Amino acid sequence: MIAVRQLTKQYPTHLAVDDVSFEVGQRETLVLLGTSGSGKTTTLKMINRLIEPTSGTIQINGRDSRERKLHELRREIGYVIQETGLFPHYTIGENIALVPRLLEWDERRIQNRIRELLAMLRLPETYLNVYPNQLSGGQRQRVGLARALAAQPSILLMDEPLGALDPVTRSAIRREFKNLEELRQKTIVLVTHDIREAFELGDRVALMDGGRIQQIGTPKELLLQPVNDFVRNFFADQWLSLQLHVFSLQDLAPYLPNETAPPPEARLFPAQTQLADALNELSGPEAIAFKTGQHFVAVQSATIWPALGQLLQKQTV
Amino acid sequence: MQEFFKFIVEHADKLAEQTLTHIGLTFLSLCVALVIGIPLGILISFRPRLVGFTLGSVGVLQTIPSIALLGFMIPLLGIGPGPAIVALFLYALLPIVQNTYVGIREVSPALKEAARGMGLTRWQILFRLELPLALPVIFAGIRTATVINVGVATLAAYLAAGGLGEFIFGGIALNNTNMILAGTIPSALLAILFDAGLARLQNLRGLWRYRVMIVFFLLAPVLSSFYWYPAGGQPRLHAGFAHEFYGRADGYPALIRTYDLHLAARLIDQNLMYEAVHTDLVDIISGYSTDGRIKAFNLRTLADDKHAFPPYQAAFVVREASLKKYPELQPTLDLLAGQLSDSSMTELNYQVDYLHKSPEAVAREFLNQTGLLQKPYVGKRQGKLVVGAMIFTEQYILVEILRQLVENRTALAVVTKTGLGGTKICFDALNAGSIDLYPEYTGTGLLVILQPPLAVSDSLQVDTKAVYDYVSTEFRRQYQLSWQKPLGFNNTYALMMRESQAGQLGIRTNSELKRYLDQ
Repeated sequence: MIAVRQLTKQYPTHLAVDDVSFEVGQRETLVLLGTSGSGKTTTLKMINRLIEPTSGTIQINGRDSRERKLHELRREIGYVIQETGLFPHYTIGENIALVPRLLEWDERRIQNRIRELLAMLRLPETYLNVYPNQLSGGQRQRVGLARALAAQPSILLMDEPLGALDPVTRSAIRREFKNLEELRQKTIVLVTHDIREAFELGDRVALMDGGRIQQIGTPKELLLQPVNDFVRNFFADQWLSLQLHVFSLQDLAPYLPNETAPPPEARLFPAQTQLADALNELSGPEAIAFKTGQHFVAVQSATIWPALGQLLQKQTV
Repeated sequence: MQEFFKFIVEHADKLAEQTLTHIGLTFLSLCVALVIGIPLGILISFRPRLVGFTLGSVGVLQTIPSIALLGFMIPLLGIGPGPAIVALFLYALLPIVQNTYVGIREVSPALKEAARGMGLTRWQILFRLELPLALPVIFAGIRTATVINVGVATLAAYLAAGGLGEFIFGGIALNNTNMILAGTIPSALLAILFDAGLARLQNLRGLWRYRVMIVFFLLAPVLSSFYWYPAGGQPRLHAGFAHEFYGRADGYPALIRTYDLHLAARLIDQNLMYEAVHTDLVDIISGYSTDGRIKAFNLRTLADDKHAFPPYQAAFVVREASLKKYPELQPTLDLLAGQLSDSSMTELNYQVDYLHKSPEAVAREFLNQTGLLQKPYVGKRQGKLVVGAMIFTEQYILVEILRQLVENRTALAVVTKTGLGGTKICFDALNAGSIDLYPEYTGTGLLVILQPPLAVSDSLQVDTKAVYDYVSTEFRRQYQLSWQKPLGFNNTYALMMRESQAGQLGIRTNSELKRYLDQ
């Protein structure tokens, strides 16, 4: 749980963060979205006190962060940054073990935890003794995440975690991270300037500009109920594709035929599956289906597009 | 080439000792520079405000010419290993401080922030991130400092701190190329060796780099201890010899031949040698028997009871042509015969060197005391006598005495040409007629100018009169130069000790010294 109240950071030359307040609930992912200079990274760094606020308070799990010893506070908060910040002179194993060793875990527990994380992030154990520069960007990013998760923090701060990757690797890793059970258990604040990343990963998104939060809410709220022109214009370019991220299969139900029995040879998906993911699945030949109430709905690449058209048309009106 | 190897073989012991001392000096000062420089570099990386001042001052030290820096050490700290190490340390400081600072500063700020973000304390960031990543850069600095120090350490010999510079300075003093090379080649090899070794270290990758670098930090103090290694069994008395004395056949080798007296000697500049015995840095030196500092520092001259050192009677050497041209010159020169004893010459030197009187005033006082001056000649000067002198105090005084006496008693105008480099230069000038006379010593005339076959010089060695007769006959026959009657004193080599120590140990002669050392 993170509660930020009236957070302000005044630099000699400019006001970086201006009266920002928000809460991030247990197991929630909040994305701070904005262009560079919007104050999102400054806000993030004030949470683990890499930057000290000019005024305002931050509570971490119910305690004021200023009451905590700096390094103890930080060891309880996982921190992932762009370019990963892996120590180049430490092996992958030593990098992952960094925070557990600071916390003086016993060595067997550390080794078990490292192996668990490697398995989880699908990194071969042979990587344990290699150095970061021997890995690809995507692999380094996974190691960076493993290091942040190593000491099992309940809170994770991520600063443009995928910023250094090419678009293809980026969406692959993003999907991978999204599906990690362990990440779903964390309270996460993630900073990005990538709108799709925000919509894919964020339970809620805080859109920032000029040091202020312009609007905070679910991606759907931001997209469909913008509070001002800034928010509306911010999403205008990608408005269509973003809807694939805010709508789920459930939303398509009215526009597709219902059946009482599950369609044969179709894979069953949860009704909350985002349309973007569903479309991804439909790139192959087989059909998928989901259950709504008592009924089953089959979706095929031939039928999804007309239904989508109808849904979107309704939104624009 | 063959002679060079012969020299190396003959002086292998001394060379090994000097090499060890050299390595010791280099690493001792390097260790001090590491112990002070690395923390200083770290400090300024913590406090950027101090960077300009610190690197500025350390940089200025680096710009002082090394020989000047060592020169400054003498009035500040005296001579010996201490001041030499301080000077070397000051030289090594810049590359180490600068590279430590640059190495730490060049660690990516993003990495440092990531480390802070993960909860590393300031010190943990320093030791786990900054220093390991800065290590290759710091090592480049250490490599530079080491190579600089191997070179500058040759100058330590100037401060009587030993090392390979002893042979280089000695070789220069004696104009002995083999001796210069015997110091130069090993020190160049050392520099290449350390440079290549540290370069390989620097190029190691991964874990090995850190392991080997840690080993280096442990090894450096061990290499430093080489400085004391040659001292080995701690001789009862330490000797400090002038380069010339060490190298010349009539110096230390004569001492070995005659007394079988072996001393663990350090080679010292002959002007600093007296200072060295005075300040207890050494116990025995190879002095000159009429030096003013014998009196100033209360030194005891050990009697050469077995006559190891040839006589060096002082006398004026004059062109026969000049004697003919100015007949009044001969009787005037004769007046000075036997006028100066060892102790009175020492006294005169002392007055000039230590009481800082001018040679002119000292000479006048001496002439007044001896009553050699008459009512001065006041007429017009006719004829010109050119008098040469080598570049040390005693010669200045002697030519001044001569000038005043000649001008007092004759119509000759005397022109002095002082500061001539040495015997060879004076002799050549005399032979060529650029000067008419200069003060010379019989032993030098024999060994430097005449260089008779060994059998001849051996037969003469001990006999003062025989040497004088031989040089005076040969100079007249070969060069038409006339040796005047001896002035009286004998400025020869002599071992000297502090009066207090010599008195305590009851040593008055070289034989007694030998006996004491053999006990």
